[in-house]
Amino acid sequence: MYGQPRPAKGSNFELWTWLYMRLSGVLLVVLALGHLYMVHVFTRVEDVNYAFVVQRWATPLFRTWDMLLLLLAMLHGINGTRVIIDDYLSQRPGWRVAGLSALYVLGFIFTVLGALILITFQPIGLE
Amino acid sequence: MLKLMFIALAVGLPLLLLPLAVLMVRTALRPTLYRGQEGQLAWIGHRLAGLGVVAFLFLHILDTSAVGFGPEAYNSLVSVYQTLWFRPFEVALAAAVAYHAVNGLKITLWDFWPRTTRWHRPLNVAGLVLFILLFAPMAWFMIILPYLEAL
Repeated sequence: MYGQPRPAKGSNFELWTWLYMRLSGVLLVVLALGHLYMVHVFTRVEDVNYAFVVQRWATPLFRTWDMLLLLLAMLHGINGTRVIIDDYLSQRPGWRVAGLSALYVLGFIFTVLGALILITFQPIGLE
Repeated sequence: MLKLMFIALAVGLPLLLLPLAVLMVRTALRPTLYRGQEGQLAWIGHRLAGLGVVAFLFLHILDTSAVGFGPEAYNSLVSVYQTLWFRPFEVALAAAVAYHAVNGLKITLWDFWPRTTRWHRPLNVAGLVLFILLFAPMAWFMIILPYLEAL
């Protein structure tokens, strides 16, 4: 992060996010690529529909898989985007604040939305 | 109606991140004394791929949320992903995830065990091989098999 004031002394925030990116990254290699393979290789994308989701989410394993993937990936992606915004918009403070605000608000809403659906989903309209 | 809104978002969400991608590429192309060689390219690629994947992640949460509205809503949204229009983006997404994963593993390896940077060139070759191994099965089902079936 260039062009930024040095973080307050004693703050380990960047150290923890650095560590998080690497640890979650290793887990996401398995979770995200596994997900891609399940939906695009072991299942053809043409066969992905409501019934497919019902069948998949009937197994607690896949709900847990998707929940972990959602939470780890969103935090990983939001943090990555934050670093990119800090790096490239440091000379444009207004845009930087606007970008970060939009990122955090949208990131929070979408994470909660995804988690809610994963927890509350009940199949309807199928016998 | 729901489907049209979804398509608008599918186009709009990446557009939100496009200015960042443009700034990134412009900064990378600016002539400086720094000569990062392939490492600098890999780093820019890592960030661009990451931005692309995060844009799709937001969109993917939206379409999945449609399961809460029943089969019709969900099936109409995922049918967008099954069109020929979306196929190039599907391939790009698979490539971006595979590339970001392999490059991220290299970064993690070098950060935690700095001595392995001595073998950065052979490790780059190994990374390229791993990328091809991960991407090839997806490319087969997304590009080659549909093409063969269409013949």
